[in-house]
Amino acid sequence: MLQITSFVPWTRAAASDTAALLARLVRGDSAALDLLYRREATAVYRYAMAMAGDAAAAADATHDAFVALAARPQGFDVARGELGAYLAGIARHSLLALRRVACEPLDDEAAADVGNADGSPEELCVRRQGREALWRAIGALPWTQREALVLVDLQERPYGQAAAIAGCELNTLRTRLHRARQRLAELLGRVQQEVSHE
Amino acid sequence: MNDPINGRNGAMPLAELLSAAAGELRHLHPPAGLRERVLATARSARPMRPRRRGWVWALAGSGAAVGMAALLVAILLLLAGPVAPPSDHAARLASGFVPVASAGRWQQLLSDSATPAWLVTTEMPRDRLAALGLPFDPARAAEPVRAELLLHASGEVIAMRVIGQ
Repeated sequence: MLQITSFVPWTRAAASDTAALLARLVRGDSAALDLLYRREATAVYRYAMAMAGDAAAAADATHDAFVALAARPQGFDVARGELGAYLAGIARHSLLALRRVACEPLDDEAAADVGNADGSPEELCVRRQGREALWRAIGALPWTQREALVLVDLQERPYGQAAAIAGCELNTLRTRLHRARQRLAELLGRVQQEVSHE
Repeated sequence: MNDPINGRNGAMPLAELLSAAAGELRHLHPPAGLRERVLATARSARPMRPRRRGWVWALAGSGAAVGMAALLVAILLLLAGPVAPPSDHAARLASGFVPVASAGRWQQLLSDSATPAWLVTTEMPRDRLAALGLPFDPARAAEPVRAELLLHASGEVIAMRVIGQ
């Protein structure tokens, strides 16, 4: 015999409650993981893609983030932040581990010279298209500067959330963002000078 | 001199370039198959309770108990005005409900934001879980289990989820 214990309108808040989904995940409910993935995966993937510039690496980092959440859902405290930032933070660790394997420096102040990256006529045509040059220049930024730029300027996350993902103080994030924009302008200026001299 | 920040000499201003790049990023989506890969890895790493369809139809077929709940709800609905469900698709996805009624009825509820719906929390005997094909601990057979029913204004049970083990 069923016993009705409450009777309420179906509300949006009750349907999308993160804490309730995490509680179900703690109990081993894979449907809860599915629902959290549908809700959060896109933002995590976009962050990873903008940082790595490589679809396979971005997919792996997104995968690692959700598998880690499933393995230890109690590791996230809803009172301390947003789940999306937590997942992006795990993806960040995964991407950094890949960089360490490839022996890439975290803060390479001598960033790659995007202006000398290639020189064929076809590639110079591509360079003239601003956004192509921009993505190349973003990829040439040191990791910490690129991260600040991706989180704030490209993903439009609040400064506080961006700092939490990057694992740094708010002022540090602001400094990194300022330097990233300056460096980006320098790199793009170099490309444009080369194009204008062709 | 070239000035990519302000866009002199024909160059796009940096802010415009960044805005365009942000727009490009917004069109990116995780690759097909990644979701299945995540779920498969999570299940293999830690025993998880998969979503099961059989118990849903078993519940729908078991009839009497759910039917009685629906009847009670229908009576209550006559006393209270219906409320429209949310129209946001993501919120529905996050609800975790599994359709009990036909797929057509479920889709109808999802696609028509004007359709009223109610959420009913119920308790039922724990051994019902076994009948529905869900994990069941006989040692706790005396403890009831909580579930939520999503009901149409007509009293029909559209979907349900177990909310307590």
